[in-house]
Amino acid sequence: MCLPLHQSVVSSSHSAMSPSSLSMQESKQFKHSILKNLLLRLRKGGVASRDMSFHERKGAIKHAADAALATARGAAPCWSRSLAAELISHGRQRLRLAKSKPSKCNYSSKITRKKILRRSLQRRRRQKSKAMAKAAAGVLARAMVLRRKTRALEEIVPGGRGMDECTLLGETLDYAMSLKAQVDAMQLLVRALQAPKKPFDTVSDVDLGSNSHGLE
Amino acid sequence: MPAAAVGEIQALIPAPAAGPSDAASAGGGGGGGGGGGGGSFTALLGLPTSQAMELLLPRAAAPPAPASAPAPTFPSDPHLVDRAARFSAFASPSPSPPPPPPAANANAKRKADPGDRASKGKAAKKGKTAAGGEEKPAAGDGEDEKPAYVHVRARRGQATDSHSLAERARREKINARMELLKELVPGCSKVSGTALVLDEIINHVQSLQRQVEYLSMRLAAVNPRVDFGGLDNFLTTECGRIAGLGCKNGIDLEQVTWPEMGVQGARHLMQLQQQFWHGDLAHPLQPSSQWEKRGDGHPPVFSNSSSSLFGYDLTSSVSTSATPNKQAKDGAVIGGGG
Repeated sequence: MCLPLHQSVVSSSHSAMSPSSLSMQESKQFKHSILKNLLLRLRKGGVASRDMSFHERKGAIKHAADAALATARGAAPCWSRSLAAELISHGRQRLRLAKSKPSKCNYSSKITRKKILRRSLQRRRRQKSKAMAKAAAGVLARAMVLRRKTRALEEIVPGGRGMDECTLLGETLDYAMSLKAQVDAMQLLVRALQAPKKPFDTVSDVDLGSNSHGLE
Repeated sequence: MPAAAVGEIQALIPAPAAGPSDAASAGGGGGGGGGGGGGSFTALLGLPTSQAMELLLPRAAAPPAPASAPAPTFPSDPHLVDRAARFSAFASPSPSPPPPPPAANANAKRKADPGDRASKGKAAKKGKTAAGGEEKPAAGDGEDEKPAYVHVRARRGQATDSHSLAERARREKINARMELLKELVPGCSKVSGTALVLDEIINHVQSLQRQVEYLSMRLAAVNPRVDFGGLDNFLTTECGRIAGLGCKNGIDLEQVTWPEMGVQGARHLMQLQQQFWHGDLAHPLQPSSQWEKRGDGHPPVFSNSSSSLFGYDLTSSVSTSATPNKQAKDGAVIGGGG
């Protein structure tokens, strides 16, 4: 799965994206390409049959969705390349784990342990930052608060570490728009797959007026 | 490189002005501080930094509209002082002493300088721009040919040495991007103050990431029931058709290769198709009208003699649909200032 990710990231050419410069047609195209990539990867990855546990299937789907997003966006923004690199290394790591240790419950318990640890660290960090912000209400404190928030943003946006503030904001903008498109594409897929199965009849129930959207 | 950049910039200049929305132009104009079209400023920020910087040069020269002529007619003395100061700033990037007559003004500027640096320029800038800051494009036009310098219009009553100028340019860029982000994140336009806006942005991005996790969980739950192999084949052809719609029009639906999924699968497919065309308002209505004409629910005759366009397999679909996609996007990107 590594090779198509490389190729598609390099070949896709869409570069500058901001709320004003992107026309409606382009954003639709972007969403469609995300969806198409997602379906290609899902089919190729053998998600339907191979994976046993629900958790693994969810991870594979998320992997496919992020990879689809990165390839659809292309190599122009920095977060896209970082995301692609993270996915590739993550995929290799999972492959190695699956080959070496046949037991899969080990993997999931490791994940939960890491999550708990990370969450507790974040909570502690947040409490500390709040305390410090309340302590000194000066210019320096404000600068520190700002710095903490930009660091939080750096951690959220892939590839955000080691970026200056200006490019970080630009990347955040692009990333937020792309995430929104990804969410919309996935919602489309979910809604379609969860449409209720009606018995077949000759009369058209393909009713364009009745929006059979929220069938959940 | 400068010649190529200038040529590229000439192509880009009319394009960004045509595109953006009113809200964007208002936000960009207010946040960026003018210097030509406000709307095109926000489009400018979509460009990478180096290009945006280069664009600042001829952009000052390009709009001849503000009728204030360069040298002769100066209504009042402060304006003359201002222009002279800026002119000297353009002549050399190093901090140059302002001309002797406005001694008081010079003192004010020098005092402003350390104050500017200490408070990061925000409060001082607000005070002094409220006093009289209008952007004047014309004075340093002759100097704009120098490629390597960043030319930024100094506001009235502000220090003009290179450090504060660069810092001010950086600040303006950051503020403009914050404006764009405030547009994007819902409910952020009324919040003032960078920290809260950043909070909102972080929350928004985190919520989007959580939504992706949630949706992938839902897809995992749904998965075993659906014949995934057939579904994505159909969707790929549909997406390929939508993507390739620019080059081939009027493709009849009969030519679509329907996978053999049975009735209920076909129902899914059609509803998904509707979702596509409901959700995408920009999509041409021709296919959905064909659905209406057909009127019934069952799929068209499964034709073995499908045209070569839709008979392709998945591996080649990526390349064939990527190319028209790329071409369409290239055109759009060049038009949009990419």
